[in-house]
Amino acid sequence: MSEQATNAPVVSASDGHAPEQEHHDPPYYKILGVLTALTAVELFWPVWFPQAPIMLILGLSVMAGAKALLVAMYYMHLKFESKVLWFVMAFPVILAIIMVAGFLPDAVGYHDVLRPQLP
Amino acid sequence: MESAAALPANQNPAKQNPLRFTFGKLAMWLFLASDAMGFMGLIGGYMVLRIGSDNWMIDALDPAFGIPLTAFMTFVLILSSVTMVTAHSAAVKGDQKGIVRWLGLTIVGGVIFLGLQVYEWNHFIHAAGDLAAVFQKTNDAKAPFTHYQATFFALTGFHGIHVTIGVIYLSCIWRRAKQGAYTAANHSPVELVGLYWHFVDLVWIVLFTILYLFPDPVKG
Repeated sequence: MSEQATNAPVVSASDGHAPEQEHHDPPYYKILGVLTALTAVELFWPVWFPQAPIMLILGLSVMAGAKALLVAMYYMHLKFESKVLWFVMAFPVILAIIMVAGFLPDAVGYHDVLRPQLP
Repeated sequence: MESAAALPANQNPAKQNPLRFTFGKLAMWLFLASDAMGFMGLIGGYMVLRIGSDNWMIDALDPAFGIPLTAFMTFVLILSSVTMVTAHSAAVKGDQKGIVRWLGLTIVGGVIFLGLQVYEWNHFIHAAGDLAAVFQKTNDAKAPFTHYQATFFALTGFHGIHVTIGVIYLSCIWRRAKQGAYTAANHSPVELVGLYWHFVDLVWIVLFTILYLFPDPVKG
């Protein structure tokens, strides 16, 4: 039996489905453990890589992304949802990437006008 | 033969949605998608300011963040996501006492988070005020409101409004749950408030990293 079939939460009648006989929740408390562990690692990451800003930012970004993905997949049940809802959420993600990419030239060309005024 | 209209919703083919979700759920996801774009606009602006700044945090003006406190706030919000998903699980099983108990704990988590945010803001405002007073005295000029402070208040404030709305929304659902409004066959509102609450948690996970943990470009 596939993981989805065994771990998928019951899709209730309010979702337009007949409830399944067996109810298997995803491992919510294990995911809590992973999220807590990742948060702890994030806190110590700057201590481990104090002189490597790229490693620091990359590591923190990957961990934040992993945590966000875990919440979306398991707590928001996106892993078990229809692909239509995946597309609904894919749009803002794609648009966000385009927008941030569009902002980057501004960021490179931007200079903090406040800083030179300070003594 | 039993007519289709007489059948319960979960056995009635006419009420079953071939898309596998209710329109309420689709509406909530569409709302969350648009809300995510709002957050991305703020985060994108923050990134432009921060990447373009030679020295993001100005020691003479900007107080440092209390990372242990905000890490604890993150843990509280993650924990409230677990209580929320447990409330939904209880709703699926038709456990009405479970729905009330776990929704109540989720509300408590949200209120603790908001209380800590108020404490953090209060501390930050006073610390920034003290620094500004010293700056004004030593330089004989009014202390400027820095991008560091502006983006901190804009991002955490926008998120805090979402948490506040989430607590109010949860309280409304909790009240209805106490009245026994939700059963195994009818608990869509519990699921929808859960989606909203998890989204608020997800956004904070991102904000915590980029706002509090990312290093200063110059200081490293």
